[in-house]
Amino acid sequence: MARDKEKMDIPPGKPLRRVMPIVVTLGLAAVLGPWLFSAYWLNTFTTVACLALVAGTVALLFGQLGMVSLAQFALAGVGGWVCLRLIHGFALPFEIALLAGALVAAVFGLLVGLPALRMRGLYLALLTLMVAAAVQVVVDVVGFPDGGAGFTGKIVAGQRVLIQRPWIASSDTAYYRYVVLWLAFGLGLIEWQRATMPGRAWALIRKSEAAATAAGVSVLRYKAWAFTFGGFLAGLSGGLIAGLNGQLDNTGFPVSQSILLYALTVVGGVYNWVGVIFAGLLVRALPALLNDHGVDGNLANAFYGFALLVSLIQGRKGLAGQLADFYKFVRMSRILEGLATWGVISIGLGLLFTVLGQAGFAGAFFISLIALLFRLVIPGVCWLLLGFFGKRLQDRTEDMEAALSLRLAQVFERQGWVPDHRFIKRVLNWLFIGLFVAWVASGVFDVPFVTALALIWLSLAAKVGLEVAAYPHLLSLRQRIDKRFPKPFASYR
Amino acid sequence: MDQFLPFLVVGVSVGAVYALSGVGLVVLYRASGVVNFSYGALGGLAAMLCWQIIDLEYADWLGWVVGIGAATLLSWAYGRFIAPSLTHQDKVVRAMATLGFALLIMGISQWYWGDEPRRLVLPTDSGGLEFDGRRLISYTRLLALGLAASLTLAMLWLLAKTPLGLRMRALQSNRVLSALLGVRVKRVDTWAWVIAGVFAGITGLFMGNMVRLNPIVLTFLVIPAMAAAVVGRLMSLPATVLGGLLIGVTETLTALVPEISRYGSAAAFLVAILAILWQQRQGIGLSRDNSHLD
Repeated sequence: MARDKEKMDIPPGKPLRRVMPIVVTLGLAAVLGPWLFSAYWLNTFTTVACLALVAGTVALLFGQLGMVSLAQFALAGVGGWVCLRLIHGFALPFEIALLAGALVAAVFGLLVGLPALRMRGLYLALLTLMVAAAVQVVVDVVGFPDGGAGFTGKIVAGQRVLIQRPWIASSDTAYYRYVVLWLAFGLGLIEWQRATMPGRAWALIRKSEAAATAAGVSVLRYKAWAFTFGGFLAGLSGGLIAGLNGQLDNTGFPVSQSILLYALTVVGGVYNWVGVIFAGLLVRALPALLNDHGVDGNLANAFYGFALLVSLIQGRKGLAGQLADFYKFVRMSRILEGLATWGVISIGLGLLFTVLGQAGFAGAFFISLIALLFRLVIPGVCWLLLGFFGKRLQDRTEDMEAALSLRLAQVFERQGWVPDHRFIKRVLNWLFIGLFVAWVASGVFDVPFVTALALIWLSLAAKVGLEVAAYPHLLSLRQRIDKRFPKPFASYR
Repeated sequence: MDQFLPFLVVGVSVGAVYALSGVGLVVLYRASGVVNFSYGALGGLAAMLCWQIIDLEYADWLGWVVGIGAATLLSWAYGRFIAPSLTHQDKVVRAMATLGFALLIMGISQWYWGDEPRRLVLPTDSGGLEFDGRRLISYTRLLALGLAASLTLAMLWLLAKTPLGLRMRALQSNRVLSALLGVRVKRVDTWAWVIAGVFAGITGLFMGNMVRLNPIVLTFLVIPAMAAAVVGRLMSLPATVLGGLLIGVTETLTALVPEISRYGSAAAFLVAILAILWQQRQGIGLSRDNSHLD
């Protein structure tokens, strides 16, 4: 295998510390989601969570061991089938059927993986592709159980019977939370494995199987474990999809979807859990969004193809890897500080505009918050987009911007003004955010354009003002925090 | 026998098209080490373009030429401009990159042509060989059989007897050494991509005629074709042809047994899985090793 500069070492951090961000982020998403989204989007995000779990298993096999499994989505179908069958046949509680389905899928995963133990990469991809295609044909013919008699449990005539959701999560909102918590559990488990013994074994196997054997690592056992574990989580996700609608569609697990899921997992990034969630969003949420705006979903496919090509050519780090590159050096103190300033500015401006009678509190609060958020992420997004056209272009653009800014800064210095060496970046950012967010906000929040623009630029200016004013007093606090907590994104690749 | 024969004939002719696709895949793999997932998408594009031109009431032959030409051109472009930037990657990565290309082509053609039912009619459809007063095989299927046989022979001859074939075989056994000995790697690779493009175009036209004229369906027909190639270990052309025929015949013959008739389309994958497992037991994995990249 080619020596590959992107080949990952084991990321630092104790297991618990590495699992915490996943649990916290997804916990927040579970709590806040229902307040922010409409019913349609909530169901979409439930599916996204299920797909992200499958993508997690794809990423586990590809990112940790370099093994391509195109059958993971088919395994989800297997898990879903068993789950439905058990509920219809034996009226088992949802969770027990779910776990049983996951166990059966784990056995299937192991069966798919067994030949892989001695197989070189490409052959494994072909084998799993054939398995996925065969599963599709079988599912097409047998169908998913829906309350009929016999082994297949297929109803011949009459209404399809739907399964009940678990009693703790019968509404759409509750089920969304339920699935997101399962996702947190699944991804957390994967991260835990990566941070402990299996993760170290996988990393060594990835580097060199001979070295792993020499070091006393059982290559066979850990490869088989990866497949079993992956099958388990994929099967779990299949059961969760079945629970969402109470049934599964015969055309729901085509081989094309397996392939697409693999492709988008690579695009999203296989080396950390953020990429996996990106993959879920790309598979399901982006087409839904495009559909909302009347854009043909097939163009999304074309774009995905392009994105896959680009991320493979660029060394397989994917969207998440690029983002991590951008935010790698962010310190904990800055995050806490940012949260505090954001809160102060948004609430303050919200109150101010309400008092002045220019806008409602909620509207002003959100516009200000969005402006601050955009200020943070727009440079990152631009960086990402440039990254699609190559590392060289990315670097060159940055150099060019820096050179121009420096030139400008020198001019300002001669005039006796305070120089800011990233002048152009800031100005462009402010202009773009001001005009764009104001344009969007004036439509959404029913605020005049000029008011929105004033609000946005005020919040950005307030942030700079606050930072300059508070800087001397905060310095020692910052240093103390940074000593206590390391850079939170440093372990993300 | 009486009801058996028509199925056998249909099976053999469908198998011939699989075999033809398989040969296209194998030739490219042998020369450049790339498993081409975009093969079906290129064929689909060729079929759709051909249909479009015939639908605009230009001459039929123009449709065929443009269809096959477009597939060849795109394949050449990929081989010339995109594939070289991936040569130092793992084989899996190179295969998956063609998957990206496939999605790109498929997405655009599906967006442009959509899902409406269409038929690609070839002039050879109307006539056929008769037997006992019944049509036994249409000329299109006969043509597919003939092309599969002759193109496979041509490829065998190309690989065995021509200077280009010699260089392809050299690349197959060791790319770095061949480059040291003066083989123009990129040029030979590009030729392999061109050949693969022509094959993809031809098989695309046949598939569009025999199976269904839809970009997505045609794109994923690369999977049974790959099954045929796997039977030949992505290496042996005769074994690939045999695999293709075996798959085609099994697929259609299952239609005669009511219990399993609906599982027919799984035949290709079962044959391939069994072939992989059998080859594994025999200790003959994929032909080309790329240990020299270590």
